Amino acid sequence: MAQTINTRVTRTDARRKVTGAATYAADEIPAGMLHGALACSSIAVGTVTSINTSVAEAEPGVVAVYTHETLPDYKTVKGFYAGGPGSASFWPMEGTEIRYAGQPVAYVVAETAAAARRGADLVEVSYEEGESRIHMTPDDSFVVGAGEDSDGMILDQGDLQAGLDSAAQSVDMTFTTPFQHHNPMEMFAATAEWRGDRLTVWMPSQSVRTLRAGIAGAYGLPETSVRVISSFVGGAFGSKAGITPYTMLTIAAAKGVGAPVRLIVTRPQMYTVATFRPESEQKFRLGADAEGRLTAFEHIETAQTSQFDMVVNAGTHITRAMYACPNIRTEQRLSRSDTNTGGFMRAPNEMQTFWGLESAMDELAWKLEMDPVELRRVNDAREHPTEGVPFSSRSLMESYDAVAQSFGWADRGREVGSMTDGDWLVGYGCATATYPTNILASNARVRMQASGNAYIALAAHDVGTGTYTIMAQVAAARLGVPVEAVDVVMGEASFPVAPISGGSTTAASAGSAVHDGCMKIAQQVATRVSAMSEGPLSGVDPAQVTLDDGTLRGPNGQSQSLAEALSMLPEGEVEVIGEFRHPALTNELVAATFKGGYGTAGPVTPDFAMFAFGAEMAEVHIHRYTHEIRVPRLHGAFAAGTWLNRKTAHSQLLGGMVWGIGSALHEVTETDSARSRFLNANIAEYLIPVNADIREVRVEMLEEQDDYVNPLGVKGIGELGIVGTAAAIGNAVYHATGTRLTSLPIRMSDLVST
Amino acid sequence: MSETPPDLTRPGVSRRGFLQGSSAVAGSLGMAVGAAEAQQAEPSADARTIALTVNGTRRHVTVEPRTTLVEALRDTLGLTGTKIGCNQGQCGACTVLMGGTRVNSCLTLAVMAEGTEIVTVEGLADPTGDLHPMQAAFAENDAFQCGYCTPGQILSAIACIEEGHANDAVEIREYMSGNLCRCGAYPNIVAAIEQVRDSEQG
Repeated sequence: MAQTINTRVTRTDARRKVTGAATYAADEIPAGMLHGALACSSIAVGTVTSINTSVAEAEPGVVAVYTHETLPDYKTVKGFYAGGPGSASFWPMEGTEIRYAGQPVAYVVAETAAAARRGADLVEVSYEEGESRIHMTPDDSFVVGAGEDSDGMILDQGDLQAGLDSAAQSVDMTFTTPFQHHNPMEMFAATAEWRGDRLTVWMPSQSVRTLRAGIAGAYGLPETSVRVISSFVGGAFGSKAGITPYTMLTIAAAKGVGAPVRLIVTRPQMYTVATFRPESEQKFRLGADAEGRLTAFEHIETAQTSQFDMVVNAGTHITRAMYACPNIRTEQRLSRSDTNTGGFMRAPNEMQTFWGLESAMDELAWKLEMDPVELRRVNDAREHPTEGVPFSSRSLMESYDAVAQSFGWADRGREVGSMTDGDWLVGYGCATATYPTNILASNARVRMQASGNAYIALAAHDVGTGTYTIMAQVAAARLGVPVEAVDVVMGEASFPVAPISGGSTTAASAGSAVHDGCMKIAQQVATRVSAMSEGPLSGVDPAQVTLDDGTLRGPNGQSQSLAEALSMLPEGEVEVIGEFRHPALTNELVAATFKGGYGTAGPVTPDFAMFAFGAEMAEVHIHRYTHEIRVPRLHGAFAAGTWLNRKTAHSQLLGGMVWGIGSALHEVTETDSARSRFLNANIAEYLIPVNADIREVRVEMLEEQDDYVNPLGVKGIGELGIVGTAAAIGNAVYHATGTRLTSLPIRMSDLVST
Repeated sequence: MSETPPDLTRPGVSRRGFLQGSSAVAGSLGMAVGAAEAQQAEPSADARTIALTVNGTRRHVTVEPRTTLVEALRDTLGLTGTKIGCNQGQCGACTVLMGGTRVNSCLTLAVMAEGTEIVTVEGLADPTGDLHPMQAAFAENDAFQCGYCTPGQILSAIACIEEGHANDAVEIREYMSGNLCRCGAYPNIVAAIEQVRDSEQG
């Protein structure tokens, strides 16, 4: 058999994706389907005093206009940050209260999408407007669960002040990051179809089982009465994790009109009906001795949250894992303002915090007159600085050395402003990337037939990450069959339990369940054929039979292919449930996942700290007169255990780095502070990188073995590529201009004085 | 067509293309929109049946004047390969070929497409199932992740070469910048287009 792991395998769903045959949620059109549209509030805080629906109702094609007073049988679920499956704790259209701009206030059902949108435009809402504030105020912030229940929200180790006092050089810097929105290309959509008490929901989701459990619970239905289907997801990045109001509103509306209803949320509405990356402030105080060894490390993160939820994306828990230092203090704070609840957006703990940390480290290197790569080297931690356990594997400096070579770091001018290219100022910058290896329980159904065909089913998702392909690869490698002979179905809640497609967990957790299923098939087949009177493995102790690339091998050189052995069974096939239960997964965590929640272990276990690492280097060109900023080259080297598929993994890392360029130079959700609204709520004015923005992006994938993280040795990579990119670019801007930037995104106007 | 096709690849420019393209039907369109407003009480009073030639097949659809081409393709003809990414002409996900020219089908009214040849992603592979070279190149180069923008990217890429705007990577990047890819597959998209361009030239 050709090698199927750690190779470049074309996606098994590529044909469906290039022919238009891949069906995303809004592509399902049940018979008799009607169209939904949302009308959303124009104020941020206040009360609905009246809604006139008569004009909308008179619009041709409009079937129904629902408000908080008329929407029948509307159910809600508990918010994620209150331990539930919802994207937020506050639900619109339960009453007259308005708590954020763009909050749904009416739901129109019509015969066509155009009529529904027109109907929504014609809903007339009167409000009594209250005071509001969209931005957080760090001066008015708090620590979640401060005190004994702080769960590490405040950590104080050693003597920070003594470390600062003894430092040869120190930095004290404050960085900020803006509101950002995921903007997956696929718009949020939900189609609900009731047949009696049975409900089918098509919706792009990162966690179909969470959706089903939440919906079934809300309606008091058995989970078997609710189908949730999400076969293809057009990008998610954290935006399709929880149950959002548009889903529950559509389910209720479909019940109300007695017909299937599909809602495609408009692009502008996508900015307010779901989550986003909260704005944040990152304060760092670092001290180092003359050789660059850190003597003090303080990080205080303050992040925005809504008035009704506490969104804790604990970035300090990641930054304090990076560098060896005896005196470490971290603090995780929140500040409330009048928005919907934010949530997870690609690297939710890491993107903002590594902009700060890696910029501060760069500043420290300049003060120490040290190569910033060498500053990372002298502080490379071999054990977790605050948890006292070793890293299961840590290839940070290997990553730096590899990227330095590919990038040509040695050619970097030693002084600020020392490199030019005609009218362009040239700068090089570097930064560390990391992402924790999170672990969740997973099952997978694996069936193999004597024909050599294999079938896999699990409630995982392919949000573009290549999950369909890598699950097939894992099975193909173990069972000794071609990848094309493995049929994988996912994205349906009734399939065996698999984790949320979030936190970069799927390949490691679900992949390990597929691996386990293949091993179980081998065990079962070995047990049965060894008990037969004839055959190559007859009489062999099945406990001593191993599986090697689809071949069963006995202790004394006996061997038989799995397919041949299967042909000796009357069924001609074996089907099992593979399981992944990492030793770090407690019963409580397993139970949480199996109930539809997120029972995550890691990155720190009693034995190890588990992280993937990488290093990125950026070249920036800044025009001397116009201050136009370009990134002609961005290189990254990453080590994340086993690479299952070098083609799709490369794309994930590449895509992450492109996101990093976006974070550095483009992305910001602008605000209207006077009215507490997001201002550029569309995909033209919310800038994301376009093709012309992206020039040379090179990804190096290093070999790394980690036997602890899971049987496959896989660490998640969906988010790794974005971490550190913005700082690498900012540090290159400093090298080119001597201007130290502290706010994202970096803009031409920031460089006018240079 | 003797005149240069409108440049539909960049935001802003696409609206101009839309207006130019619509000038031929502007008279009847203006009347129809006015009629729609005047006759609100009469459902679908101004709906009309038009013939659309999609992927070489002539099909009749009943549309309102306001019905966009993308909604006629998806909701009426069931050709859901064409995606909606913004419905306001910003992202390019709904790109189809109309008379050989790439257009945002969300900014094109269905009535404007009458009498033209529409090509969607479903019409690219040959009847035996062999992929169009651009489809094959996208698959091979992993020129997508989630695949949602892919139908639009592929049609735009075919037109990009056809227009003569694929001479080098810089030009391809510029002329493919009307098609957003949030997964960030741009370098692979450029590689796929270069591969097809080179094989056509070879």
